[in-house]
Amino acid sequence: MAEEVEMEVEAVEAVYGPDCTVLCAFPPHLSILLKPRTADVLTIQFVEAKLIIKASVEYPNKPPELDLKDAKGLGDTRHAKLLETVEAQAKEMSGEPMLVAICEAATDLLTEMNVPDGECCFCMNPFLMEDGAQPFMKLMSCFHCFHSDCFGNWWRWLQQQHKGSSSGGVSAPMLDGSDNDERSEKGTVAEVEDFPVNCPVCRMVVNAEDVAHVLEFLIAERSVDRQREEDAKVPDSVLTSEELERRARFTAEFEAQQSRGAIIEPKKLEVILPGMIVPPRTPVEGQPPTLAPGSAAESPSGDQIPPTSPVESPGTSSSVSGISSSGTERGSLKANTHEENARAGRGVFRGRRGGGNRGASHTGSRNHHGRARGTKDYKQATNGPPRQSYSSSHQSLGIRKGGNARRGVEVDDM
Amino acid sequence: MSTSTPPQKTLSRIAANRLQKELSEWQINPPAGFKHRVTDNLQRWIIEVNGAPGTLYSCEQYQLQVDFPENYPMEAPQVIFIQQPPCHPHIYSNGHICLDILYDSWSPAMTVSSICISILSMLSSATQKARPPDNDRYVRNCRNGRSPKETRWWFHDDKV
Repeated sequence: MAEEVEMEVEAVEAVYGPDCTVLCAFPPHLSILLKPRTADVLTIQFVEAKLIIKASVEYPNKPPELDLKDAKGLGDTRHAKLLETVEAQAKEMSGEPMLVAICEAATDLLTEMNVPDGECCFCMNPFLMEDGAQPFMKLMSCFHCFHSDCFGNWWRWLQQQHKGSSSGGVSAPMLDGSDNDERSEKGTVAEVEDFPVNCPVCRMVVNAEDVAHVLEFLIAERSVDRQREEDAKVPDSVLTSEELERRARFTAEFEAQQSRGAIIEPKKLEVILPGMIVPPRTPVEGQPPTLAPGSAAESPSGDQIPPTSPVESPGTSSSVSGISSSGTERGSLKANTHEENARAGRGVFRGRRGGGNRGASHTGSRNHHGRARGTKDYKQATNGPPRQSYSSSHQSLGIRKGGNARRGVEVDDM
Repeated sequence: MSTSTPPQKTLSRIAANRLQKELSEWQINPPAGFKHRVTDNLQRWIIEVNGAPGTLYSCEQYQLQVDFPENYPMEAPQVIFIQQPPCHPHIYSNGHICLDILYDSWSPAMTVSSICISILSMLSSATQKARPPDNDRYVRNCRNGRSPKETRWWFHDDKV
């Protein structure tokens, strides 16, 4: 019996690879990091949790004890529902090997739950609204989401405060312990790198990965703003009849070439930055957000992104590089890739991080979840290296709620 | 007694929208023990606090005044007790409250409601009714209606 159980544990290890930690092979005691099926695209992963399975020697006749740890993005209700579901599954299957089945059940539910919970903490508006949602972003370390505009405003405000404080001006209350070093007055985005910022919700230090995302977001936004300004600036005097005629000719030629497929289209969707998600037009409850081709128009930058958009820096944008093909292509690619995922199993994706260049490996297709149900050798393509886990949690809105009230001593003698 | 009126700029559009949201949320689901006194001033809220039952402040009523800056919620609101402030080791007799979330540890994710809960929790955990030891010196320095946000606070009591 023990041998069989040990083999089962090996099977779990094989399926979940680096996401599975075996604390004890017999009786089984495992910790498995479970993620929704997003085909390895971290930017559209809004939830995850560690499932702790602790079985006794009587396993499988006695179902194991189950617990969730380090849950992110779930919130109390969904956290409870997830635990309840896996416990029910375990109970139902008592007597037969169930470890993989439990994990798969949890993964299925996580996939259903893979939508950002609640509302933006800055503006208190929900992320998914009926009438055209605003683009939002996710901090990669703690999974807290914000509207991109809201976060951008806050970021700029912090920067202003920071500048103020380093030039000896007013204090910057948000930047506790910020060093008043010889920071330049420019306030360029470049210096964001060493800018101390904490997640407004859980206070986790925003890590380098996130800084890169926000950085790119801000640069892109600025460049779009600038582009718009320039577009608007063309004075009437330039638009002589000659110029208008030239433009008309050019447009006609362009359209002709385009119809023959000779134009390499600007990568419109690259306005969707790492960590920044444009939600679907008509969000379906329980379905992962879709990067619908049409939704590019909803992003603040619209489709005015020039081909030379600075977003294209290859270093940091690895996780979106898959989203670069044009809309229609993506549609078909999407289906294929999922087909592929399901058939190829895990080997293909192992060790690959953040989606790589596998075009359109993001989720959103309807046929996506459920495909693996019942196929035990299937593994969702989420085998990135184990992510650092932090102690943040879904309950974090109550930051220090009722917390550190402390006695004050005034040190500011005047 | 200072009912300090900070030099206020009118609320930004973002701040006004957010406060409107908070107010409607409060009306649906107010924090237990608090009552918002209805005024037409969105920028200054007056809130009645009822001491929690079973604590040193049960059956006592106090008033909080919350003033919102132009850049709320980026910047913390100014929160003070008005009229008769409760006698508490972290509350000065001029109504200023020594609570880190109101100053250094403010985060835009916090709301008036969460502030209220923090303050009630601070009141409830008191083991004796007393003024802070440096009350007189502090209050002397705060004449002319200085805002507590100009104070550089030193937080050291984690047990609250």
